[in-house]
Amino acid sequence: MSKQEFEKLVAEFSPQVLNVAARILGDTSSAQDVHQEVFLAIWRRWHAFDGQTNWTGYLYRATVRKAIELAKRGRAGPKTGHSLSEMPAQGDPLEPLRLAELQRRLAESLGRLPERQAAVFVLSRLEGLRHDKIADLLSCSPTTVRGHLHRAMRRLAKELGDYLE
Amino acid sequence: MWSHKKANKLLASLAADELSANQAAEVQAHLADCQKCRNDLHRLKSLLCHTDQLRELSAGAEAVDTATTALLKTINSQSSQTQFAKSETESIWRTIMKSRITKFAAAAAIIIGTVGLIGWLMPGDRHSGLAFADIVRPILTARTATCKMTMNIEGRPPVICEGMFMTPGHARISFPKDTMGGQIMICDEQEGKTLSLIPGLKKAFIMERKNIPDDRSQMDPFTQLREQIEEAQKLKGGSAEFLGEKEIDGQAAIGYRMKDTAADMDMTVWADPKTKLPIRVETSIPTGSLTAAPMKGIVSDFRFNVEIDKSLFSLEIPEGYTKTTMPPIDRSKTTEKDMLEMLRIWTDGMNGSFPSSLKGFFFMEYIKSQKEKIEAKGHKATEEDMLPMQQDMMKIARGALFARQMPAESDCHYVGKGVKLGEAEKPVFWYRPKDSPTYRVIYGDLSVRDVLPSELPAVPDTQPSKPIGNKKP
Repeated sequence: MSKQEFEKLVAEFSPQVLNVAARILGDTSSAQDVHQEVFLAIWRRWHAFDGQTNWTGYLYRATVRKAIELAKRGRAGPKTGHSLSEMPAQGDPLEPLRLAELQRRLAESLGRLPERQAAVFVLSRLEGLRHDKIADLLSCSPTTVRGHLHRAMRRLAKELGDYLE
Repeated sequence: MWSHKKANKLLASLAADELSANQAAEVQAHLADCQKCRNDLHRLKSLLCHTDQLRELSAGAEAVDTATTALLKTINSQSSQTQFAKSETESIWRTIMKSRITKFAAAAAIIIGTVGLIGWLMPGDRHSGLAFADIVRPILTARTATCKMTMNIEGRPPVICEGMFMTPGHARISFPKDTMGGQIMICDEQEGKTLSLIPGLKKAFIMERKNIPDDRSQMDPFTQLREQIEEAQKLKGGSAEFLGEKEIDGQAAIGYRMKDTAADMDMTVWADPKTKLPIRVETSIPTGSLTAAPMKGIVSDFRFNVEIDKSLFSLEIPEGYTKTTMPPIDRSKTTEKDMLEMLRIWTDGMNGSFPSSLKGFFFMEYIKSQKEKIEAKGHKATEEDMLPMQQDMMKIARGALFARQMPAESDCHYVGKGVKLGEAEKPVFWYRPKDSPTYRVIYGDLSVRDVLPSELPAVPDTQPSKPIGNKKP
């Protein structure tokens, strides 16, 4: 596969990778780090890809994995109050700050979950994917997805308990 | 009414609106009397409400532009400075990714593939150096042979296999049930194929070797062993040391020790002084790790020219077995590109560090490191995790083979220990191609330059001083 095809892949999927990473980590700078690492890893093995890869699924998995890895390394959370460029308009001026704090704490907690639980939670709650779609991406059954999701929810609710009161 | 435990277990489902009306009613009935469950449900709903808000966030067009530009700049910068060896092996990941290789089979295939690779691609590693004509004559002339092979790795129970060989180029190795699931490996060097059977799972794996050199007689392991022995007898592979006599299993034996300097391995052959038949061959193979003890292999219980049913070497897959085709092993002549590819894969997987050495089973460090990375994420290695490692291992083996097959006159040196990827001024490997006035030097940024002998880098104090070429001029 050629370099042009790689550039086309980057152009097509950069928004997906950045958005997923940003929702997990809470800021564009960290999301860009994830973006670079994910695509560089693909580029290093570009000769091994044969044009049959399901890039949507592949990049979802790779991005979630890399973002959670960064979260574990303490790279989570916005450096400023609200660094994502498109924040929903809210009546309460403190809402963006609360959201930023939530993202930071959520990312840290996601980093402490087993990888599968974290991946399922992100794909379900942050990306809004259905259970059967997640099952396809992670090569497991929808029942397994549900199990992972509920365990992740219970654990995150417990860890973020004070904040969620 | 449902118990507290049952109701509490379903709170996440209730929060996510996944319960049926009846189930929801049962949980709600419990909630009326349980403050703890009401608190838990509140937190769960709050969590979902907040994450719903996060779902609306996006990085923005400007962030996409910035990230894309930075990425392409990095790639263009790397492409102009380094050489990426393009693999000529056809990618069969589509076939692999659609297969149902179990975790056990994938792990077994990697182990077998790695062990098998050592036998197939590095014929000198375990067999070179049987130096004395009398002791080795049965090996040189036998039409068939059976033996027992024991592999001892520190901290693990020994793995004992049964081996059968028949010329030209047939081998059958049976692994024990308790460690390798009773796996059977059948090799036909003339066909260039290996069949691995896992009877307990009724699975069969076929591996083909592509780009087999024309002279197929070079390929069967028994013939390879014979050629190595003949070469060792001419003292091209090392020197032999007479060890004297000792008793093995109540039997008198005389021993000779051979060293393979290229791979830093040594082999001892014990033989019956009366019959001159080998009783036992002992090998010690360094792992390439500074902390792990060398692996020890013992081949014993030899029987030569016994009647063996040829059907035992058949590559036909038994009825009821599921067949999987593994990626082909490239047997073409290795080149500098293979060395570069190996170094690229290694540094990519080992945080920019180069191998400490290319001797023995140095690649064990790589396997161990990749497995630890996977398990550090909180789950055991899956099929998907293991398969890229197998492909990488084949390429690492080819790179190492390029170095090990260098003739002594190539004056090759591996000096990558302690070098980090990107250190453009630090040499990692150099050699002189045949009839060339200059040396080819690979540097820490994986660039390659032609260098005059007078300008060769000095070997740093920390590096091994002896060259790793296998053959003396």
